[in-house]
Amino acid sequence: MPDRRAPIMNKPLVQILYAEDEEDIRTIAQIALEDLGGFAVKYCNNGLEVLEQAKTFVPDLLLFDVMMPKMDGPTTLHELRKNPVFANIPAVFMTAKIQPKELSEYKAMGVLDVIQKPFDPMRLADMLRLIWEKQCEGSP
Amino acid sequence: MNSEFERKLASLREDYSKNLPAKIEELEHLWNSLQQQWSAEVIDDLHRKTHSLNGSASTYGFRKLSSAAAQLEALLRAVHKINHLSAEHKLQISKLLGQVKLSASKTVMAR
Repeated sequence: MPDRRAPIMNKPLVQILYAEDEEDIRTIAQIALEDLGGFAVKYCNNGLEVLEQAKTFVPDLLLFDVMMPKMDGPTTLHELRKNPVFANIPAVFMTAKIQPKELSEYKAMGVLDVIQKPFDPMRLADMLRLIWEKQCEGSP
Repeated sequence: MNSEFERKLASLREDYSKNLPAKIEELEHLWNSLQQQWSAEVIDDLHRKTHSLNGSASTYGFRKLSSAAAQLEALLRAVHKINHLSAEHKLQISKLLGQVKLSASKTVMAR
C-alpha cells in the first residue's frame, strides 16, 4: 500500500486536471489558473470525463469539485487511485460545504487540502501554489 | 495584476450578467410550478439552482446578488427539509425571489 500522505513532489506545479460541472465557474477558474497561475490545465465537466482524460494525461495535481453529477469528486479520486499511475498524484478538492469527518476521509485519500467555494478568482492560483509548496516542504 | 486576466475577467463578468435574466426566469418558472403543485423534486431543483447562483454570483464579484440568493437558498433549504410549503413561507420565498431578481437586474444595468 503506497503512502499517499507523502507523495514525492519536489518539482514545480505545472499541469492540472480540473473537474467542475458548472460552466460559469469553470470559465472563471480557467483564466485564474492559466492567465494568473500560468498553469497548463485540462478541463472536465464531471468525474467520468476525468477518467477518460486520465488515459492520456497525467497531471501534477488533480483539482476536483466535490459535488458533480454523473460522478462526484471523491468517487472519481477513489476510481483514479486504482490506477498505479494515479496512486500518488496529489489532489485538491473544492466545495461549499466541508464537514470535519469528510475532511479526514479526504486526507486519507491523498487530498492535500480543500478550497472553500465560492473561491476568489484573484487568489485561486496562489492558494494552489501555497498548498503545493507546503506539501513539498513536508515531503522527504 | 495581469492585464490579460483583467480584460478576460471583465468580459466574463459581462457575459455572466447577460445570462442572468435567463437564470432568474428559470428560478421563477420552478417557483410558479411549485406554488401550483408541491413537488420534492422541484424544490430540490430550485434549491440547487439558487445555491449555484449564490456561488457563481460571489465568484464573479456580484456581492449583492450573491447575498440575496444566499437568503433565498437558506429558506428553500428549510422548506425542503420540512417538505411542506406554508402560506408564510410562500410569501417569504416570493419576496426573496423578487430581491434576487432586482439585484440581478442591477448587475445588468451597471454594465
